[in-house]
Amino acid sequence: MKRFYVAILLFVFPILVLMGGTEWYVRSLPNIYKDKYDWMEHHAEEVETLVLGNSFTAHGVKPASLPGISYNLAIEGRTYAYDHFLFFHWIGKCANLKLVILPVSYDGFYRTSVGEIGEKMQELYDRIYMDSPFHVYDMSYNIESLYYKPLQKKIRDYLCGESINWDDDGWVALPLSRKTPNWNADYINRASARKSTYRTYGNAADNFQYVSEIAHYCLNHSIQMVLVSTPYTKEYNQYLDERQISYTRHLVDKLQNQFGAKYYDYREDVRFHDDDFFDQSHLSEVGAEKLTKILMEDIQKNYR
Amino acid sequence: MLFNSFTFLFFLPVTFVLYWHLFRHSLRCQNLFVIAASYVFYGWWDWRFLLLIVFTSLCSYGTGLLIESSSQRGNMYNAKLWTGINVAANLLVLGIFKYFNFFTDSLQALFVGIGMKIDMPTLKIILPVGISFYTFQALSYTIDVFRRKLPATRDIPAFFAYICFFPQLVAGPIERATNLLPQFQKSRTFVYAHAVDGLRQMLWGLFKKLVVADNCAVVVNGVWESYPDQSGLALWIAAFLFTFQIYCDFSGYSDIAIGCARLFGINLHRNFNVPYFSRNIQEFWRRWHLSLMTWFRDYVYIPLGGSRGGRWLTVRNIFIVFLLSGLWHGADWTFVLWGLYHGLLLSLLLLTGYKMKDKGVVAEDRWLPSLKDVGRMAFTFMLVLIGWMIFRADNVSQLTDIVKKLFPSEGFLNFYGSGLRADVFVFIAFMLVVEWLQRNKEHPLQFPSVSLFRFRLVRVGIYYFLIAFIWMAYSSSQEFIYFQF
Repeated sequence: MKRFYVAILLFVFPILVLMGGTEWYVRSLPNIYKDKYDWMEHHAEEVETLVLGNSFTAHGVKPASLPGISYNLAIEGRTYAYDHFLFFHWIGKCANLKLVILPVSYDGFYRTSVGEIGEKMQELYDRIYMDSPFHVYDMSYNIESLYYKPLQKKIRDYLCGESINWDDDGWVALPLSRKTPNWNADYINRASARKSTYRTYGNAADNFQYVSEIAHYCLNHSIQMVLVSTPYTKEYNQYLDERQISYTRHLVDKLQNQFGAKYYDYREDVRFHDDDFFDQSHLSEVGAEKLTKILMEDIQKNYR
Repeated sequence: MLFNSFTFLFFLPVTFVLYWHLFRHSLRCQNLFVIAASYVFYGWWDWRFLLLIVFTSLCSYGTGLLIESSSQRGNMYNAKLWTGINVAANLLVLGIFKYFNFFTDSLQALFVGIGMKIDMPTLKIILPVGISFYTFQALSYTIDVFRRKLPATRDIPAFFAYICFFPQLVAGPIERATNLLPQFQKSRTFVYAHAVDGLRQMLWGLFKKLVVADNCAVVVNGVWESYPDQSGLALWIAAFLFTFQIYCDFSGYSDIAIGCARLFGINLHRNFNVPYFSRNIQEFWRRWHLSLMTWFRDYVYIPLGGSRGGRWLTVRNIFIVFLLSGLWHGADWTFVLWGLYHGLLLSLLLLTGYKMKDKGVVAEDRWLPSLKDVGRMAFTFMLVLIGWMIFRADNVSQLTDIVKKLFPSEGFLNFYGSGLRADVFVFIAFMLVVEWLQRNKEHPLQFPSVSLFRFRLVRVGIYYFLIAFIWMAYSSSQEFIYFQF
């Protein structure tokens, strides 16, 4: 038996050392989660406009085009559960906050709040670098070096000088040069729409609750809350499920009526053309600048 | 609790240490500990599942004693009656949890089909993980007691440990009481070589599951979910990948289960014997899911008369066995069709008068198979692949839609948007080569003590290579397919 234990320890020891070293190294590399967390830690009290949400706002809302000190805290793959956590994690320090922008995407209310398959790495990064309260005791969300492919990409990007692709204000531009040739193909739009269409809306109640609590806080503290649906291409829009869109609208109407949130729907806005899009549902850097300017004009119009 | 989870990574060493150090001096305590650990393992999914397994264990234990006492008194009628009651009770539980909604929905569809609208009740029940496996294991005990193949046990801890032993509880192998129960009735000794071999087998099982099965699953699920948009070629390729997904998923789990059991001094039967190297469909069913097929052979096929009643009776018995096997896999008509498909293939083979000559593995004394064997293996593989397509379909309607797309038509060769990846084929090829080279072994990591393999450094290097391969190729965690059965 002793021989067995010794053999196991001798076998496992190099693996543990290698994993530990890799974990230490990879956590020292620059990454957007750590950077955004650090920025907020140092500048939260200065922020006047805070952008939350997922890829739609992370790429689609350019803080430099917003008035005052603005920061884009949105990151790809975020769900409302994480927006809720981030908002309440920092709101105590955000003494100057006047405006909060949150996306309303086609599937935002219906996605699993936490633990959705496919968003594992995002949740892991939020756990490690943003100190999220989810998956605290789940080792698979606390050890980055377990996942070779994302690790390889992170190290490769760092060594090639491509690890930092976000601005100081948190915005992640999607340059037109990176756009793929078949970006708006029918089969892509159809598959993407199908992937984002839900048959049942079981998660809607939880997600609505998360957004309501943010809206309620904003209402009680004279912070304007803006919900925005960023533009999609005309070709993509035709594959979206009317029932899901209608139910989303119903939830948004409740938020407007109960908490005074303002909603700006640019999903089918004809002012956006091919060059404004990076793919069927995300804006390019050109489109983001355009959207942000249009959004600010509309917000200011409503204030008058 | 999944084998490929951190929870199990902590659970296993703790259980191992307590088993061999704290409880080794008392067989009874050791068995009680096995029960406790197994219930923790099983209850991790849902503690309510434990009520059912305790019921099954108590029912079978008590009935075993009643059957034996009736037999000893010469009252065979009562012995049969108790056996019948136990079988009925276990099948009733299985029927309620697994098949109730299937049968009521099917009946309702039938009534609607003949123009009658009837509201059938449905039950909102979760299907307990592994219910089909441990139910069959319990049934084998009572039937074997009735047949006097083994005496009824009075050792409650040993019996409960036999039913709930965690490595094989949720996805097999389905162990016979004649093999597993005596192992819980006598002291176990830790054997270094067996434990190390068990770990090797677990490593190979993890490789098959995490590298091959899970990577295939990502592609297969993507194609199947969007099958209306996929071309015929993409569907064929997805079916090909599913053939390896289900094999590596299920045999991987069995390898982990068998390897894990060996750590505790328990020997489980082999469940897969390189089935995709089979030269005909009969050989395939002697290599695939051995524990289930031998169960059906011994408790259904042979009691029905087996092959003793002439060709047509044999055909009838084959169809009954495969119909039940299909139903065992799931409560849907696609599983029934899959079972009947294989029943048909075997029956056709029987009716041609074919008699299987080669009982050993293909090319037993050669490096490579002959061209004839290659042709036969490829043909058998194709037949099995078609069966898996039926098995994978969500329902009959989806199956018919998919079948229509499988024939050459416009856009047949297009597989844009299918998510097909080249690396998955590399993983499959690697796995096949290794299994081919080691096809005579219980598992591929049983190295010969010749040439380079006699050096420990080489063997350890191979283990590190496999672990690195798993780390690099691991895609995303997928549930074990056979958990749903």
